[in-house]
Amino acid sequence: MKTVVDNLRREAARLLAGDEVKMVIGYAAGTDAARTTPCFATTPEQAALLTWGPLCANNLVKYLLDYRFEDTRLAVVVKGCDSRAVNRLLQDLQFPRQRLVVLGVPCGGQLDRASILSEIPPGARLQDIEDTGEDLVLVTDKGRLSFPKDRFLMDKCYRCETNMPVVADFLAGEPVPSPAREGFEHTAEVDGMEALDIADKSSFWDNEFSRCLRCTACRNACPACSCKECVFEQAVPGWQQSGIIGSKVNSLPENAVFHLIRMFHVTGRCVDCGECERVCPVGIPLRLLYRKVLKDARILYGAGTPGMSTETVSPLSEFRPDDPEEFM
Amino acid sequence: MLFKQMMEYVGLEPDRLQIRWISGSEGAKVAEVTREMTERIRALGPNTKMRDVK
Repeated sequence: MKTVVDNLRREAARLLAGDEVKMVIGYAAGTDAARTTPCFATTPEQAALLTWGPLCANNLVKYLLDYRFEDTRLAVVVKGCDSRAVNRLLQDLQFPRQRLVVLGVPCGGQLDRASILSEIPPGARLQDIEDTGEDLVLVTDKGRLSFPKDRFLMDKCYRCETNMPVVADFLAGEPVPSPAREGFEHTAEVDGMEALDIADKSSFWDNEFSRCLRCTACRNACPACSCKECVFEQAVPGWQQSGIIGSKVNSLPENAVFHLIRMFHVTGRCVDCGECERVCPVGIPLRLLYRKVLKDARILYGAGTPGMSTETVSPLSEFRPDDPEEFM
Repeated sequence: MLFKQMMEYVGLEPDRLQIRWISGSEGAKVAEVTREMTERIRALGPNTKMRDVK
């Protein structure tokens, strides 16, 4: 882990010093030990702030979109899952490849912050997290707690498809074993959901969607959402609000419509990085929605996970004579 | 088709969605399909799930 960080800092400093890139987007230590924060390093000195570890869940690829209309060259630090998003943006011509330096990091799985914090006894303060490879040591001011690391991984990591970046100009470390585990089928929860009858599905999602605040954090964090003007943010006078598809009215039916539209819009774009679910302030299981789309696209159109290469075509942007057709 | 499966997934009756390609010269077919669709929706009843609370 240490050498990866060193390699990363050295490469970032080299890129910045040689003016090869204007900015390196990476991770830096956060406000507490169980947090990292996105870091935008613009000088070689700032490159020393960069870090890497099992608490770097953010998908930094989304930040590229903030700079897509500039002419500066950028470097971005990506994990395996984030690298699929890089491919997707390149494919959609949202960011030119020649203005991008991809710094890949080998990822052994990301930790779920909430479940780490729940292990800390009340009153104790977390001071540091040590990663011994297999075990995770939580150093608190009331003593050290040691746990097997794979108890705390994020759900997506147990189903990891690519723990090494699928696209990278520079790789900061040797390949590490994938955190994916046996018995975590890609579609297990989706299958379970599909098996329910329609009234149960309806009440399950009503329960989830009724909490939705329509804060659009899921969209803001989503690397698949690259529109300059989002359908949900079109300027519509108030008296037309309830009459359009992307209404801003915060009610259960409108929330359901919001999520249905988002679900359809990320078809063939969603790389299953899980950022939507992570950032959701009310904990709606959004990946359960988007993984359904992944599954259906796979079954109906034989589409693989988007972003595995820049060659894969999105199922909704090509026509094949043998596409399934229900409505004709 | 993808969208129909999504509707079903979040608990809407998938029969409420119908897409037809009808040419401008097929006036009779428009009437027929519309009638068919109306019958089907009538059988399903009002869509209470998507009704706005006002």
